[in-house]
Amino acid sequence: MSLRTQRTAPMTGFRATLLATLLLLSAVGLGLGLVAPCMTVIPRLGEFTGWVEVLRPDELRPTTYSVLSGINAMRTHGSPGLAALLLGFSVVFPALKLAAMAWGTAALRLGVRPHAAVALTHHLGKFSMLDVMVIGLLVIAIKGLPGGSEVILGWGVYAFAASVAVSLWASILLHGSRPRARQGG
Amino acid sequence: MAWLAGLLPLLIIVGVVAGYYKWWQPKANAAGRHAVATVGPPSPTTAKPGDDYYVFISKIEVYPHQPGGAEWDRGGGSAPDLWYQLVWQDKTVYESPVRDNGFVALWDSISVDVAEALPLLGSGRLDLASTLNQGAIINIVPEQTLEVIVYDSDPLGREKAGRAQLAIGELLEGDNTFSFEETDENAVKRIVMRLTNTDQPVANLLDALRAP
Repeated sequence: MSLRTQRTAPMTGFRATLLATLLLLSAVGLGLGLVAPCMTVIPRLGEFTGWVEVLRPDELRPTTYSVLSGINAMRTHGSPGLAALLLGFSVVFPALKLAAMAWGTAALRLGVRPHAAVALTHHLGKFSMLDVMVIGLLVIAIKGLPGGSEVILGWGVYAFAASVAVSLWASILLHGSRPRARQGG
Repeated sequence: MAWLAGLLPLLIIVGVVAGYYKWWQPKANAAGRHAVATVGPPSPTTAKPGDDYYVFISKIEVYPHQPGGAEWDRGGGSAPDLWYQLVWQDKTVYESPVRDNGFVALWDSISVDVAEALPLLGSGRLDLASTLNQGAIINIVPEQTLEVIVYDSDPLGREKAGRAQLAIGELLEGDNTFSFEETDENAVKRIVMRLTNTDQPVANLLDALRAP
């Protein structure tokens, strides 16, 4: 990764516009994915459900989480370390990745090469998928609980997933636009 | 200057998050509150004439001395063992279980008989009638009265702690709290009675019954 700003042929206008659009969509999707309802947990206690609904209804009340409210719930319920981990991988790294990609796109459009931002996106991208794995594990874990507890995914998950997919596409386009180093130069 | 472009996604993300909390979520919450409000129990009003109501005494408090000033539980030195009778149309319609040793006695409006419950656990069914065994059902006739007679149970029988005659036409849906002066014939300080219309949907009925 070098910070030298040598000049090169600028990225085409069409590709730059496409990348900017993808990054815009990804940023909107990420924003919505962080705050929109992500999952609703409906607790069930099997054959005891009917009794608990009458005697302790609060225990069976469905709870809806967004990514941010879920992280906050973890923080306030004694798991600050896990909350910090998820905050990093779900919020900070994806946002930084988009920022670096936008930086890289602008740099390539201006004909600057090679640019640190392009290399940075490659590294940040590796840290941006943990949240998807966590949601997957959570769904599997809750589905596997006895008693028939249910998890209903909210539209926030789809917004988040769309943001990840679009940023992946943008990343491929961006790396395809990167000037190649000359052999033996 | 290309690095300035890197700020745009961050600003967009922050803007979307702020916009969601400012405009979107309040609308969703308002819709949720409206949905709750449309199915929630009604606010307390006078019991409707002609309707049937569950009547539960959830709380009775007595003064520190028996009517006439004598000690409760003479010889034993403990607080009274309270129970009550509901009398409607000159007939006893309900007798409560005894609550031992207390100046304040509490009864739950919902209870479950474990012996009855166990066979039902496998089927997941809940027999509502069997859980509502802490009171009586009366029909609201405004001219009639409902009598609550409170007793102190002792080994030799029972001693009357006091009685209250309540005008049925003045009873409210939900909790009714009645306070009484201490006299030579009365040691009952307070009675909390809950009235719940039997015609409500089951979900509303359960909400009304288990309200604190």
